[in-house]
This record gives sequence, C-alpha cells and structure tokens, in this order.
Amino acid sequence: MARNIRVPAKAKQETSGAGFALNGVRSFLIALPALCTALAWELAAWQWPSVARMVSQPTEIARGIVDVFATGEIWPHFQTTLTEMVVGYALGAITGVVLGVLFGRVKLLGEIFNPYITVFNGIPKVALAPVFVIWFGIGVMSKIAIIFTMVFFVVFINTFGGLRSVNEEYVNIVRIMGASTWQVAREVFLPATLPFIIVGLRAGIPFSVIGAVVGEFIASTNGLGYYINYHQGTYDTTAIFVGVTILALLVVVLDWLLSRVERRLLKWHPEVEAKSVGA
Amino acid sequence: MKPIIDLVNVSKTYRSKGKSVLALRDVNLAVEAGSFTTLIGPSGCGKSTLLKILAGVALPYEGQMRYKDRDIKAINTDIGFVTQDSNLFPWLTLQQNVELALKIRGIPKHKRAGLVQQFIDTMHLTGFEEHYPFELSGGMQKRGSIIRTLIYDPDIILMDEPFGPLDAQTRMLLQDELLRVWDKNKKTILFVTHDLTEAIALSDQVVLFTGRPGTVKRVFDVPLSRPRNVFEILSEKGFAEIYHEIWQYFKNEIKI
Repeated sequence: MARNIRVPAKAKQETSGAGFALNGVRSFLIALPALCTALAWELAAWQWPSVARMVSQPTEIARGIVDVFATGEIWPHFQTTLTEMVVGYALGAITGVVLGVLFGRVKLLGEIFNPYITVFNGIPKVALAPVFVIWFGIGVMSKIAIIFTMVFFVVFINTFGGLRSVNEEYVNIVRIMGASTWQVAREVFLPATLPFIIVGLRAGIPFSVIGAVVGEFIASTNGLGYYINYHQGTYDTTAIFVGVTILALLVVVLDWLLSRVERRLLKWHPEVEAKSVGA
Repeated sequence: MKPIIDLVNVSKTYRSKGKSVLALRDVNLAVEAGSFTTLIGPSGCGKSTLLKILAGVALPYEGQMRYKDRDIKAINTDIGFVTQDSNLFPWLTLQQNVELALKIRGIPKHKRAGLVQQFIDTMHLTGFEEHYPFELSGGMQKRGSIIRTLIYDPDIILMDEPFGPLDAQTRMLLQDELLRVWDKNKKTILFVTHDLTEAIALSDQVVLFTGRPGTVKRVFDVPLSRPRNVFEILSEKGFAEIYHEIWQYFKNEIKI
C-alpha cells in the first residue's frame, strides 16, 4: 500500500553549516541597500551642508537617539505615546474581535449593519481626529479615541470576514460527531477564524502609531508626535528623524512580538492577506 | 428484517434567489441494516441532498424519514458523514483529526490514543500522525477523512462521492480498503457516486435516481459474490449483465 504514497517534504529549517553560511550571506544582502543608503546619505551630508540641514545625517541621528535616552529627555514623550498606543490598541482590538464575532455569527445583525460598516469604513479615520480633540481634550484620551477607531475597524473587518468564510461543511461534520454549540465554537470557529483575527491584529499596529502621531500633531503637550512637531518649529531635522526612528522601531518591535505569537498559533497555516481598510 | 432507514415520500424544496427549487420529489427507499447501498444518478439530481437530509443537516423536508423506527427531525449523531472533499481540519494534525470525534464525545485521553493509532495503521497512514493535512497527498487525506468517521463507530456511514477527485489507481485502492473495512464490521453504508462501475463493484443494491427533481427510478440488486475484487471487477461473472441492465435505465436519465 505504501508504495504509491507520496512522502511530503516537511518544511525544514536549514541547520547545516552550509545553511548557516548561506543565511549569513542572505542577511548581508538584505542589509546591503540600507548600508549603501546610509553611507551615501552620510557622505552627501558631509559634502553639502544644505543636505545636512534638510535631512540631517545618520551619525547625528544615531547620536541623537543615544542622547535623548541618556538624558531622559525622550522618556515622557515615549511613555505618553506608548500609553496611547497600548490602551487604544487594546480597546480597539478587543471591541473589534467581540463585535466581529457577534456580527459574523448572528446573521440578522450582520445583514442590518453591514452597509453601515462599509460606509464608516470608507471614512478616513484621521479626518475624525479634530473632532475627537474637541470631544476628549488635548490629553491622551483624544489619541486613544483616534487609535481605537482605526484599530477597531481593521480588526473588526478581518474577524467578521473570517467568521463569514468558515466552511459550513466543517460545522456540519462536528455537529454530526455530536458537538455542542460550545464545542463547535471551540473546535471550528475559533481555529478557523484565528488566522484572520491575527492578520487584523498585525495590520492594526501601524494604525495605532499613525493615530497617536496624528492626534499629537493636532493638539498635545506630550508624546513622540508632539516631539517631532515641536522640532519642526525649530528646524531641527535631526530631532525630527530621532522621533521618526524611535516610532519606526516601536512598530517593528510590536510587530515582531505579534509575529512570534502568530507563528506559535498558526504553524499549520499558509499566509492570509489582510482585508484592506482605509486609514 | 426491518429496514434501518425507511424513507416515505421524502421531498425537499430549496429557496434559491427568491425562487423555490424542488431538489427531491417523493423519494421512497428502504435500506437494510448492514447493507452497502450506492445511490447513482445524473449530476444535480439531489443525491447529496438526500444524504444531508439523512444526517439531519438539511432540515426541514417533507415526508417521513424513519431511522430505527424513530422520526428524524434533528441532527442524527448515530451517523458518520464522509464529505466529497476530505475536509480534514487544516489546523489539526492527522492524529488530532482522527481523534476529534472521540474528543467531542468526551472519551478520556488515555483511551483515545490506542484506538487512533489502530485506525491510522489499518489505513496505512503510520508515520504521518504529526503531519498537517497540507502535507498529505489527496489519497492520504481521503483515508484520514474516512477513518475519522469510522473511529466513533457510527451505525450508518454516508459517503458523498468520496473518491470523485482521486486518480483511477488511488481510487481502486481505496475502494478495496473500504470494502475490507466494511467486511469486518458490516456497518450500513450509503454511498453516492456517479460512476456506475464503482456503484456495482461496491454495493449490494444500486439505487438509480432520475434527473432533477430527483426521485428513485429503480433499485437493482447486485448479484456479485463477496468478498469482491475491485481490481478485477470488470471480468467478474455477472458484472457485464448487471452493468448493461442498469445502463439501459441510466442512459435515459443522462439523455444520451
């Protein structure tokens, strides 16, 4: 019997010495464009002072980052923005999952609210930022509200879409096996929807930064967005790039954390595309 | 002997795009316990719908369906359903897929393991326990999908064109394995196919359906002896006659 069985190759991690060397070469090739750009940027800034004024230079930015952390100057801004992001993101994500599940499973709710969701999703959420500032003041609350709105939609739409796409045959199969409603949820809906939810959660991370920065640009007394905006007033491009770099690193770290979770949960799953959502 | 399944004037109407479509019309059919029945008919004649009605996942229907003298008006968990696609859950390994029904039925973990291994071994899937479905070939997925149904020992097994998408060789091997498993425990099997050779090779009775709305056109007893050799079924004594007999009716339904 075994003669006609095709033995599938399990995806293997390269662990041999040759593989390691190849990985090293690969990492180097990936880093190469960044290194070239940084080098060209640095040289150009040395050569032409106007370039240094407009876009600063990599060594200055690196020194700036070390400085702002060493002096502690950046900490209050960092903390403010991180707080806004974490709170806004968490609230948006939880609400998105809960309502996504509700609307995805309760057919009537889904049918009634689907057009509304399409319309609200069409609104560029950043355009609502000024209203949130009026409603919630210039403190962290208004930023949390902006982030909440942005993250909510991307998580909601992916969760909703995920539940809607669950194969009904899977549901029938476990019901015939004797599954209770709770068992159907745990054995089918949860694992089948998880990849979509995680795509939504990952897509929500950059939105939480955008929301925080936009909010802080409009009105604030603290935060990395405020820091960047403030230094625009003093033509300090180095400080602006310091702020931008810290924001970028923040997103990379958060996304990396979530991707670790994803890999643990979804080792069985091929890639899923995020549903497109307007910012 | 009393039939395990007894259908009396079962009809099913679907609503589709605002119109009602009659899928099945007055189906009358009795199935003996422990028999192997194949349902054959043109595409879209409602054979699959009938299986869904039997499993209780295509409610409501008109008419009467009795299972062991009970009216079936809800999901029937005495049934095992092997769907057309393998439908192994992609997030579970082969072993977890096979184990699922036992888990749902609350059988404790230490009792499951041995049974799962036993079924995996009988279907020649040993060594692939930890593989996810995407790492298995179509034939292996199909074997997995059959044993995850057999494992909870349902009284009736419904199979909806299970071997349809497989290549001819794998198909014959699986037919052979299915017959050997069935010979051992003699569960009642209802097997939908549109392949007349397959229908005859496997079953005790072939139920021929008309085109939509489907109803039973005629039931044929298959006189071939058991155990059968599916690899040589074409040269089996009596095969040509029964094939020819059924074909005379079947060809009218598919408008040749």
